[in-house]
Amino acid sequence: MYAANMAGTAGRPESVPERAPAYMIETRGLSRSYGSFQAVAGLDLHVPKGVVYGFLGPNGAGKSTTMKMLLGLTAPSGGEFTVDGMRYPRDRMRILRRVGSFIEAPSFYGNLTGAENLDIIRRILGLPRQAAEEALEAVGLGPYRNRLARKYSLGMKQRLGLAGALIARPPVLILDEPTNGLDPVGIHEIRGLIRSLPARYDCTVLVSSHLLSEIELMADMVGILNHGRLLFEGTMDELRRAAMMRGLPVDNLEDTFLAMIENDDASRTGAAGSGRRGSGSGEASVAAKERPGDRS
Amino acid sequence: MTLFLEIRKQRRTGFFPAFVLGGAAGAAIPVANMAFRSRIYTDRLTAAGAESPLKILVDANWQMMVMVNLLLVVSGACILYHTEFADNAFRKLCTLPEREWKSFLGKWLLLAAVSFLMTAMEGAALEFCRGYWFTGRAAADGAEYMEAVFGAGAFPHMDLVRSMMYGWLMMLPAVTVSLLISSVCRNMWISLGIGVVCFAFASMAPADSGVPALFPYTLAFRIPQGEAAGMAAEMTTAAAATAETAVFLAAGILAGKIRRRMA
Repeated sequence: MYAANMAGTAGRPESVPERAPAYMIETRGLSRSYGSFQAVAGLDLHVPKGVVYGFLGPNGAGKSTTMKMLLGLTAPSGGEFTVDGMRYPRDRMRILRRVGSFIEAPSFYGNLTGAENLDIIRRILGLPRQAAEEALEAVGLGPYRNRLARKYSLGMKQRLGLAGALIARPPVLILDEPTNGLDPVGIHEIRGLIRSLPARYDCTVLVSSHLLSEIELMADMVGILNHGRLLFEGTMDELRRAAMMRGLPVDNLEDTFLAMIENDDASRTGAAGSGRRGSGSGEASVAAKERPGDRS
Repeated sequence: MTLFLEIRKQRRTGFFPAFVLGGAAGAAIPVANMAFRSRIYTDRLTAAGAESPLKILVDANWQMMVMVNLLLVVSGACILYHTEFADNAFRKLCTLPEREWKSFLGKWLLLAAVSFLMTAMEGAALEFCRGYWFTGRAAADGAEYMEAVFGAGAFPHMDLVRSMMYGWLMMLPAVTVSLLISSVCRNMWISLGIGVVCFAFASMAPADSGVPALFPYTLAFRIPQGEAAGMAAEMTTAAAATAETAVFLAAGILAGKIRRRMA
């Protein structure tokens, strides 16, 4: 399904009605620069409806910047994007109404309890009272609802942030490294929760991480970002095939990811093929944004 | 709704107790002053060119009361935004379908409301002092004092209310600027520092003439006359305070939009 969607990406006609968008999130040439530093460079992202889309990249690759742009927290320097068929900046408020988010560190009122924090969000979104309770239960914070948020452990704060994103059961969820600070059990739980979200809430999830092993376990699709550029976009199987064609290691996807990043870094510094891991093919890399549609 | 949310956000921050205690401290000033030096002031009733008890009380205590009020206003504005910035709650707010200016306006309403509460408490204290010391003295020395000073039926409640409303109105520019500074500076200590410097400058600047008199914090030091004689001057300064409040409110709303553009 995704391959079919992506095959049609480049030439999607402008006449596609807004109520039936081909992608829940679509960016075209999205860019953000800070002075001479290009944090995100001409990003073309395509997130189909109902998938968990893993947004992968090393630290500083531009994942958080991209997500912040999607939420209107950072203004793009160039390009455009749509969320659920709504265009930014024209429909910013409508987009925010349709998106639940968790960006970087948890955001909360430390002087309020977990329940009170969610109550603030609930009132702004105009949701029924039980929405906050359900969100707390969904992330396993039910027993701690009356504890002050500032007294939560880091993992509990992460969960509170997730509850804030889930409270309205939005059709689009943007989660930036949601398992940071969680213990292995917590990671497992949250991973399971994210994995189940499309089926439970009929939503689309864009989740970032710098760990492919983690993304591999929960994502249907993956987009790999390095230095603000999209190196790859497709399913895990397509990633393996692409890597195999380029002579990159495929036994372990973590190695594939690392090789891909290293090759891209090498191509940037002009040091490609200098004996680095994964560059055995002699090709620069899969660096140029590659989508299955392009190969077909 | 926005005001209600802002009230809820301030739970356990000490914001409301600070203003209640601050109002009580401000109210205690005239009471303490009269308790220890009542003779000085009550004698002015019988002096040549006698003033009304309210004017005597206001002249004697207003400066000190305003200092307490301004300190509370600056601190209150810092608390309101520190609550937002301390644990990044503000960022979450920006990802919700809520206009930032509504939050600013809600905070302004809350700060203006608690400032009003403070002023009301202080007004009640002035009324208590007037009733306890001045009317009491009049009763002891003869009701003719009161009639001589005010004419028949002399309980100038409306004058008191008008004076307190004027004092509160003069405080609104400081309320708005303090909030604007706090919304711009993420570090609470910076906004607190700026506020204290402004407040210190205002306490030294002449409050009755020239450009410094229009400085937002200086306006708060304008003494309510409580008499018809000062009405014209009060109307002018009230108009200036209202205009400043409107300008700084607009600036606060604009600051939110600029912050988003520059993010």
